[in-house]
Amino acid sequence: MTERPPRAAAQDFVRPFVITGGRTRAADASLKVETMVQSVDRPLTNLSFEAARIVDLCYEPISIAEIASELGIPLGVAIVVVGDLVNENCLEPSCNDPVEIELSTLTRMIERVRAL
Amino acid sequence: MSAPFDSSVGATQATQSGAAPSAPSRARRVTSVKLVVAGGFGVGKTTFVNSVSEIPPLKTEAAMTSESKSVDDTTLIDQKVTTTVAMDFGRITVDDQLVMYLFGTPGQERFAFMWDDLCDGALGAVVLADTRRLADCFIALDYFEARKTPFVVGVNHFGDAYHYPIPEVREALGIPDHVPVVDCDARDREMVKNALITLLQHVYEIRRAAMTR
Repeated sequence: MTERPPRAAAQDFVRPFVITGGRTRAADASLKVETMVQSVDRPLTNLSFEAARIVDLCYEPISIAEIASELGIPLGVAIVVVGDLVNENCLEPSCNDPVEIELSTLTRMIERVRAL
Repeated sequence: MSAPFDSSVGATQATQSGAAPSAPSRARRVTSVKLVVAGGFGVGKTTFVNSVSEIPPLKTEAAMTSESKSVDDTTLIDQKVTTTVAMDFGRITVDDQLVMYLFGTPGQERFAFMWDDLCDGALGAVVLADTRRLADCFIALDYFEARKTPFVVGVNHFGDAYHYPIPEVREALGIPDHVPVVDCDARDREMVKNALITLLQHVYEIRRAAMTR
């Protein structure tokens, strides 16, 4: 007779996208892993547990990738939850379209790497 | 994206004075730039990031769920695959307005479908090549060529491997002359810096050429 497969693993595992209600895409497609976000200067109420943790992290500008890493949540989940918070005006994203980068900005980057 | 965030990097300062109504009063506009490091599995991407990042490379998981057409069909539950893949990234702060992020792409070919999310919006890429397994980086070369993402090739030399001259590697990989190819031992900070500078200068030249055209 074969043994019953172990069940323990299933009990402490929450599928990541449960937090996002099953969504795998952010409402705002311009959000990227490196997009910096920052919380707005007003008290926020009625936030979900995950959203509140994210807003707490965003007092200073921080990238979505760092939020995911800090909270130990998958990147895709972080993008969706941050997208919701941006939509609700709880977080403000910075523009980071590489097309907009000016030559002087590239020069600054080159000088910075050289000085490392 | 909605209007208040359409300001370019150069217009950032202007945004602070003529601020959008929702702008936070402590507004410290910080923009970010992403560079990606690609190449075959085990070629040294994580080491590369580690060599220049001001923070220990951070790991993040990308959860992947297979998007089944019939998600609610319980007979398919056994086939539904959830798996995660770790990605490394590092950071270089340029100044108080600009941060550079370096992302290593997942090396295994089976994760190539994730590259679109990761590489979307990248300023440029470093493709690391291992002379013992050159073919491993073909997929990355093809990918950035097809996307027209500026890239440079870093030839990572591993201990006992024969040291092929750059022109030979260039020929073996079929790299056109305008794409820089540099020696790059991922453990050597100076060589990694050189690879990044070469990439940024390459991007600079492409931008400048486009402007004067």
